[in-house]
Amino acid sequence: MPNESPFQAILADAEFTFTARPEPVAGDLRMAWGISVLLLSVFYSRGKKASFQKLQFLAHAVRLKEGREEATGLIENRYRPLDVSVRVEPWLNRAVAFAHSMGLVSVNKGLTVGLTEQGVKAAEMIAADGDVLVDERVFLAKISPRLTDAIMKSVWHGEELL
Amino acid sequence: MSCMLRSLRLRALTPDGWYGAHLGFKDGLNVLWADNTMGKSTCIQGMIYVLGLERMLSPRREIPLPHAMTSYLTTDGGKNVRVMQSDISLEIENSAGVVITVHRPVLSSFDDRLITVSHGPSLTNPDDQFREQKFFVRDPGAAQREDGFHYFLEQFLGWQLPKVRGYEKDEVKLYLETVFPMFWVEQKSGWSSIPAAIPTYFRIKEVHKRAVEFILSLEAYEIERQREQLNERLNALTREWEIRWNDLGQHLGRSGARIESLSQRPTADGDSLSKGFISVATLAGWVPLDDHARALREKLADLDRQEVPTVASNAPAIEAKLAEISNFADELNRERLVIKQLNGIKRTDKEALERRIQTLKEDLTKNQDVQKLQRFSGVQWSLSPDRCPTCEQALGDTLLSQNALASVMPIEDNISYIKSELSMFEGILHRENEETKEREGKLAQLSRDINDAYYQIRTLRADLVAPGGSASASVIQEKVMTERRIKDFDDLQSAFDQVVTALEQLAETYRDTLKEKSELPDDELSDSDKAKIGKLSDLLRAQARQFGFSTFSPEELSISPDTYRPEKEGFEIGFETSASDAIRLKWAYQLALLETASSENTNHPGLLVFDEPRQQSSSRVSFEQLLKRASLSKRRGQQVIFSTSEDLSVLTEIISSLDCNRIIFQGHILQPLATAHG
Repeated sequence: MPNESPFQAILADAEFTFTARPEPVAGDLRMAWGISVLLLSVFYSRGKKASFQKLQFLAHAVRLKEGREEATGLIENRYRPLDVSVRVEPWLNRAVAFAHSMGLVSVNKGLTVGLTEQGVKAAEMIAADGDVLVDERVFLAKISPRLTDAIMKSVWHGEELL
Repeated sequence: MSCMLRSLRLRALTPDGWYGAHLGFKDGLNVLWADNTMGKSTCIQGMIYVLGLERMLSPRREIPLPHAMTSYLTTDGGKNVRVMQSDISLEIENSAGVVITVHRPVLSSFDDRLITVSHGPSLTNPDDQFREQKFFVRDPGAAQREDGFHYFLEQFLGWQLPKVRGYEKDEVKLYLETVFPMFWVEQKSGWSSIPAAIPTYFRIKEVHKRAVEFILSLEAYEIERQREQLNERLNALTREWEIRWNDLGQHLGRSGARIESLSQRPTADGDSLSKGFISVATLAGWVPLDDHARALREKLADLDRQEVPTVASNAPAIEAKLAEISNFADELNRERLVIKQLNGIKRTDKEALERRIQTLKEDLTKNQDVQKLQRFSGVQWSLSPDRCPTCEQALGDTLLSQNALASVMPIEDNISYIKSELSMFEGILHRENEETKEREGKLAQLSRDINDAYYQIRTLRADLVAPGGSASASVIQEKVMTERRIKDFDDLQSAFDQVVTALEQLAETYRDTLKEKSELPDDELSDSDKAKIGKLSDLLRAQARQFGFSTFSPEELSISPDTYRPEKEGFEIGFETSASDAIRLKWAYQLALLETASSENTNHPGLLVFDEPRQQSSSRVSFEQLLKRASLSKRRGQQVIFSTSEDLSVLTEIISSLDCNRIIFQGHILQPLATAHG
């Protein structure tokens, strides 16, 4: 075509190279986010330890506003255990694995996760900074201590259905 | 601007009768000597107390005086006697030569918040009668209300304390308690800092700077305040402008018209506003209102020229016209339907866009959190390890499986990536909103035209069934309708013109405000401020040299134009100075402020009080030089009061050659008095 755009003419003779670009990752799939949320979840739990069931539930709930609202509704009795969505977050297990290898958490018989002395220090540091993880911290500080094993059991096992 | 302390009287009534002390102060250097625990602090703190300035020492509401004035006093014989009643009086003189005497009870049946002022030297001339006035201190409002003592004292000193910015309130008065430490160095905390130990619990922003600016009467604060006021005015103008613009836009939108070429934000260029105009949605697209109105007027003129036909003569034309208008109305209805459907679709699109933007914002926050969290780390841990702590393998910064991604975008890039996505979607949303507005205008125009068409159809039909001899109503109606439209557009135009006139006025104010702002000095200090700070620096250096400052060369000292603290070649002076040099620097700074007051226009009262000037930390030579320098204050008509318990033989030797007022007490300062008036 005679009336082609001049850009096309330039492009026609140009040499092309392709470079692989690094891929963007969602903020909540970054190490620092996951590990920090893990630390805070345990930190705000009674006795500074929490079961995997509870951590999985929190990990899923804390990510989005809707999830946080459901979990809040659950402990305020606005939702029944069957109303809230649960999911096994694959990133949570990795976060536990990394935190464990760095000496921040201890895993007891594969059932519960507790904070080491270092882990408590790290969690305190994160909790003390008012600028970081604002929504997450408010949520975890409110929910973690009130989420008992009994509630977790009824959420995961769906016993009301039986 | 000056203030001199003339005379001080302390009194305490005991079962043994009245005890007390009477101290006279003179111009120039006054040296008050007594041994430790003999009552020097009682005198100096008594003066702070009588002026109601105890909150300069501490926020607590207790009387800051030793037991000699509050519970028991020790006589020279070593006997302790109970104090039943006590009070303090201080005679002061201001720059106009007016003398007042301030009385305040310490232990008494009266409220200790009450201060009585005698308008005359009632200590020096106890037999004369002077008018008395009562004031209160320490209560809220003592600095602001007319019956507050600090309000009175401020007037007496010829000061006008500025309103400054606070942490909790926008405007707080710069309290006397924050200004006095600049020339009244109290023995406990007074020596700890330069420019002064100023109480911070009044919650005043940058209180140290404000106090120095006030004492030196710098224009800097005023400039800063003006700049802020101008910015506020500009913001208010912008808000008003936008409100007017938006109101006009909505008003025009309801009639299927819109604003063209009229700046949506304030502009200093008032002339450009005359380029603004209205355009109207018509079947042929957006047309300038002037053109459209002209066309309507021509049409009206045509109609006027024609004679109104009778129904019978016009019947075929009416029928043709009826068919034409009916078709036209159908056409308009179809068009309206299309736009309405489009609006429905676009509304869903817009919601989806808004949801997307919200999600992106959440992800952005998470990414920014990650960036902050990566900076948290302990000795052995970090929240984003780049190597596996167990097997040392390199790790990508993700909690996905390590094989899932070829390479992970660094967090900084990820943040700018999300930001660019956000700005793209926000751009699209903006465009959608603009298009929606455009469609709303079009809809308004269609509704208007459809109504007109139906109205025409009704009159045309009425014509057809009317008696043949009557005048054709449809022709008359068309005329009326055209007239009405012209009038509607005229109304729009006059509403538009009114807003433009208002905007022109705003533009003028805007231009003036911008001009005023540009006339403010670029940096915070004005030329005269810089001269004062320069002078202060010179005096500071000269005295540091005289007092034997040796941590580094006194020539390297200067006063920072930002913090007004001494600095060395642009660095704040911290712990590198020796304890003795820190004291020398403090002496030099406070004396330099005093000396600056004699040649520059400042708010300094020409008074300096040093309570226990820490000469032990320095050397005898330095102390001698300090007193020597201070004694020069007499020539300048200023006053310096030193209270010290330096070895008397050393002190006597130093001051023997100096022109100064010696106030020396060999025993306790409080001694039995013959009468209550001492």
